[in-house]
Amino acid sequence: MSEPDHDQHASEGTPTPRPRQVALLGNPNTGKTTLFNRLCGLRAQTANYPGSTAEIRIGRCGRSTPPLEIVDLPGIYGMDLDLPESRMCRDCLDGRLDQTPDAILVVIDATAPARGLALAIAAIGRRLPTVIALNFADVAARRGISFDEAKLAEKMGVPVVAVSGRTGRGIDDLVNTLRDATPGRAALPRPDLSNAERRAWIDEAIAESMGGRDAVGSSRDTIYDRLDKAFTHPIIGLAVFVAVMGGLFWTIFSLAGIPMDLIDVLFEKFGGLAAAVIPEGAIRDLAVDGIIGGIAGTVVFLPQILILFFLLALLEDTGYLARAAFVMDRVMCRFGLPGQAFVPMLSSHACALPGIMSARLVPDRDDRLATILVAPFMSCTARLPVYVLLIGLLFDGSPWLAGFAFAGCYLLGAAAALLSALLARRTILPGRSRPMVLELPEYRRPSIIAALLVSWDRGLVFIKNAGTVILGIVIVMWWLSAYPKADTPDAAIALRTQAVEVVDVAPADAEELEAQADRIELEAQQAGSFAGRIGDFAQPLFAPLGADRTLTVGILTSFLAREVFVSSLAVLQGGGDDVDDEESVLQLVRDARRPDGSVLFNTATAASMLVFFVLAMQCLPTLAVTRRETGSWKWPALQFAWMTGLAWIAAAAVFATVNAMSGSA
Amino acid sequence: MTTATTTATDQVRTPLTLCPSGCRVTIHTDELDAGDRSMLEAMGVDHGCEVEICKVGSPCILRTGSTRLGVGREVAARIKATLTVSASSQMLS
Repeated sequence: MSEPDHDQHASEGTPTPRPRQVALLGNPNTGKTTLFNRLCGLRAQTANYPGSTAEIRIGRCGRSTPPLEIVDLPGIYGMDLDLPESRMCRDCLDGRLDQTPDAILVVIDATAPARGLALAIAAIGRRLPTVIALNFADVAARRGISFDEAKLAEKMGVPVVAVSGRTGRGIDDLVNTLRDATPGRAALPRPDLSNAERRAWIDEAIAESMGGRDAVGSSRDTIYDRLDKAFTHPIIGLAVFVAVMGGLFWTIFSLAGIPMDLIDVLFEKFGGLAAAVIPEGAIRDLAVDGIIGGIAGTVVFLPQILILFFLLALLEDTGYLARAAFVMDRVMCRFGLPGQAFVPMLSSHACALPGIMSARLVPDRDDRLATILVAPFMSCTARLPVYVLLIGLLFDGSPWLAGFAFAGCYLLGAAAALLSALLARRTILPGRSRPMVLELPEYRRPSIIAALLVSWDRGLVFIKNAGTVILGIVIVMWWLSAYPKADTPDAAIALRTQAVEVVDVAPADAEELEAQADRIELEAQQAGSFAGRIGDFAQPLFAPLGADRTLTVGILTSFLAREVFVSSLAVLQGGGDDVDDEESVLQLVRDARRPDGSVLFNTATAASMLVFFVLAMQCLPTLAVTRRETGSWKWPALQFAWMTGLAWIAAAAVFATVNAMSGSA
Repeated sequence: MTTATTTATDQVRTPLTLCPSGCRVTIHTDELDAGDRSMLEAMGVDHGCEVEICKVGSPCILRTGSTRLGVGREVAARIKATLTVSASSQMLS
């Protein structure tokens, strides 16, 4: 939680009033987050608590003096449930997370108040100043539901304000009431009452203030029934889900391409500018290749993340996602995962970063951890260039086989993810999944502003992460591959001398000689760098996969990001780093030889490398995001060890099997 | 949602998954484990309350007051129900 501004002083010496901290509490789907956004706008930040995968958003509402610091707690159904989010709310209200809040704001859906009132009774029992916000007052009014706020306030012993987070109705009243709130004074039901007695008390409160509970939303809604039946139907529901998800990812791929290219170009220009301004040397290398290159490689995913979260927020707001979770639960529960895990898994096909971040849709902590751990197995777009290269080597001239191999890679990744999830749920994350009981929220028109705010928030979190952990890791990896600087090899010096001699008579030949010299120099640099030396050291480890020293360096550099593998191989094979020309890279790699003159990429090596790249964890930004989402380095370490270990075993088995089959053929 | 009055005609408890859609039933959660029971209670479905079954199958969709809940087949099979108002009576009313 952010540090409150205790005893801060303005420059003139006037004391700045300490913000009044308000805990925002409510059931899920009561419009709590929309109300939070209405109160705080963009002045919010997201905080993780140690050892927790859940986040709390904290925002500043400057409409009152002193300002309000609003803490948006996770939506809960009950304060006493043995669930992480209920525990977090209890800890917050008891002051175990930071300070005890100055007040509690309980958000209740005015169209279905009973459950919210039960939570409000539990909150008021904490003896903190409490205010009840009857949200969706506009919707209630449209449905002809009337309520007497004063009567309900009298019964509950705390102020009640009718508001609409969407339209802003009642927000000023709410802020003023929160500023002046005092602990409740009413005869609320005792905690030892039976459920039936407590329910009767709540029914009475509603009857007195809202014309009776049956008057609230009791009309039979056949359209909702029909929609629910269709959206959760085993066949129709699945067809709708496939169409919705297909549309979602088509939109992401269609829309994200342009800003991604733009980011690429911008950083390229920025890098060029920096290279022109900063004198040649280590600082320029660090700035251009390390910092700017590192940030560019990560920020390029920002458009995908923004669009994904915007669309997911819209979908969630419509109420559809809760129905979709049931459709996928039939498949996912066989592997110990809930239906909600499908969205992160599917998102990971685009990129594991947004996939892992969208695992927040999964309510249970263990389910969420299992989802995060296995999501990077899904084949992301960064693997595509490697698949193209290796499948091209394996099935050159056989487009059908190549197509099957492509599909096989995707299937292998998905199967590894699901089986790993099953294993995780039976070993390191034991226990039953949370029972699949979900509230099916009303179908609503989604709020674009709320979706934009969610997208903005997720984007900020990602940028913050990219600017700290990811950037740090990328710089270290760049340094390992760029230093120490190797001396220019004699062969390169000789070629350059030759180029100077022939430049006047045969400029094309001179250019070719220069290019050859560059390649030799690059090879020498790769071999002499720390990464190259580590490659020498690690080669025996990758020998069972068919890798020689050069290939080992390629594999090691690809741990920075998988797509680096293709350009690394091109460079290491002396082809420069022009990876746009797929055919020439393919030919270069196909012609690559081992020191003994044998073909480097024979069938066994190409097949083992393909399996290795399908399964291995080779994406540092993904590990950094996993750490952020899980709040600990333990989970990314496990993710790395499991995925890479499994990849090594599977690839070694493939190498040995294909070799054995080639030998017996 | 009202607390059900048990009568001689609705003594037979059947799994929720076997109840016809459109009827109103009294819910019995005493065969659920404590965690599942408290979760359902917090969501407004507690032992002895009356709900309307909107859809059977997976999920089983219940309506209590203005709230609609989807209950996975595994949990629904462990929830027992006694019929209070049949689907046909519900339609006539």
